[in-house]
Amino acid sequence: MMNTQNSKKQKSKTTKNPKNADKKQQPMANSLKKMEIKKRQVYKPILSNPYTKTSNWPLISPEVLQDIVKLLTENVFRQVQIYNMTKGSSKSSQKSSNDTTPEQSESQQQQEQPTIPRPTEHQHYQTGFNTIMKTLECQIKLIQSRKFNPEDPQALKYLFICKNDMTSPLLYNHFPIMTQLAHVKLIQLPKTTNKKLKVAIFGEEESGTIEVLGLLNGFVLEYPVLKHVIEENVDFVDVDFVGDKLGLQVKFLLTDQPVGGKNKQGVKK
Amino acid sequence: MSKTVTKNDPENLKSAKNTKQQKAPKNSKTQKAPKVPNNIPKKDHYQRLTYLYKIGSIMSSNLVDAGSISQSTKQGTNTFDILSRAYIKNLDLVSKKVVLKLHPNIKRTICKNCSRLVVTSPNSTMRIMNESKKKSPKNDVLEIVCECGTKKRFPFGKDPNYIPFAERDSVVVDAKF
Repeated sequence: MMNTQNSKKQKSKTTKNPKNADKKQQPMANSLKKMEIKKRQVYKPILSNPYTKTSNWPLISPEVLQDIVKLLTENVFRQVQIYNMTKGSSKSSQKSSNDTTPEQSESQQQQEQPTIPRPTEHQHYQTGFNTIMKTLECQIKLIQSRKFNPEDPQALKYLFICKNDMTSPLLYNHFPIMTQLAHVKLIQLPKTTNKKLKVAIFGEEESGTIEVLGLLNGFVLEYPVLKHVIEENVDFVDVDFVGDKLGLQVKFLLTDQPVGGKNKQGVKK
Repeated sequence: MSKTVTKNDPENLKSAKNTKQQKAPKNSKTQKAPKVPNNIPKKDHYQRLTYLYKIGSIMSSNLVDAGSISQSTKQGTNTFDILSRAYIKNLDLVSKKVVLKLHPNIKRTICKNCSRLVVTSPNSTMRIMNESKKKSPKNDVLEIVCECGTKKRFPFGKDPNYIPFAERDSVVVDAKF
């Protein structure tokens, strides 16, 4: 037993010796570590999507964008906001009155029902990624089957997107193509507009944000000022499916490449 | 009590080596910053692939005037859809044969099963799903369902700051023409 302990101590001493440590740091001649070191940086060409260029998003001057945001947050959704706020407050009061008897709660509901009528604009706007995608897909299908009526009040007219507030480019990269196919005008809103839109539509009580907002034809017809500003300053998206230029999008990717070729057996030198 | 520093002290030697390693790694001498190439190697093939992708997307989006071509075959399938799938399949085969790399933003739009373009094809859907009970944003998944039924799922809520390697600004350089 004593002998084994002594040998262990000797081993530990040898490992602590700096000279031996130096020897161990250097990898063996044909080891995997050595092969890893033999690498050089190179630029590899990679073909990118010709339709995901930044220029595909229509350019709008910042002054016009400010006007659009002002119209959306201050004027257009005023009635909708009041309606939503009263609706929300009545719901919260219903929750609080759950402790009372059913007869009492019925009488309270009759008293607390919102006196404000439902505005016509309430049906003609859409928020949320999934609902907007659904309407876009339906509209594209209608256009392809040649049954689309552009004057239909339920047709999507303008699409506002807070691109800079979205977490992933996966969520907005497809919009230029889809809006062109659906004949919808695409408007990219400035940063932090998502919170302003939420307040403008649902009031300050509601938390959360609105990144995607769609206005239907019925909504636009009621607000000619907004229509005038957008029609004059915003163009339709032009993805240019097969135009004069090929739109070759090649990028170079900086990667590591192992130095040395392969043997006949398939083992790297 | 102040410590006296000696040259032969093994601890000092170790620390000195560590600082050297931190300052100048071994590979730094061998790895020189490469120059960005002026030409695109295999440019013709890249052009061919771009053209195939564009023609595939124009066919799937059904933008062609259907005056001369019959839109539906006897079996009820769309001619443009078949053509689009053929072009995209061709693109995939050519890229493999010539060993050309495709960016993830191209590969994400192609169905691996049926070679359809999932963004422009009319029957594919794109939804944000959250199957957790608490509906926490961490579990947000972008689900793209192709016409053939295959799904592509991107869990973008898991790490919102994650950027794929091919999209990092420090790594990607645009080609100069």
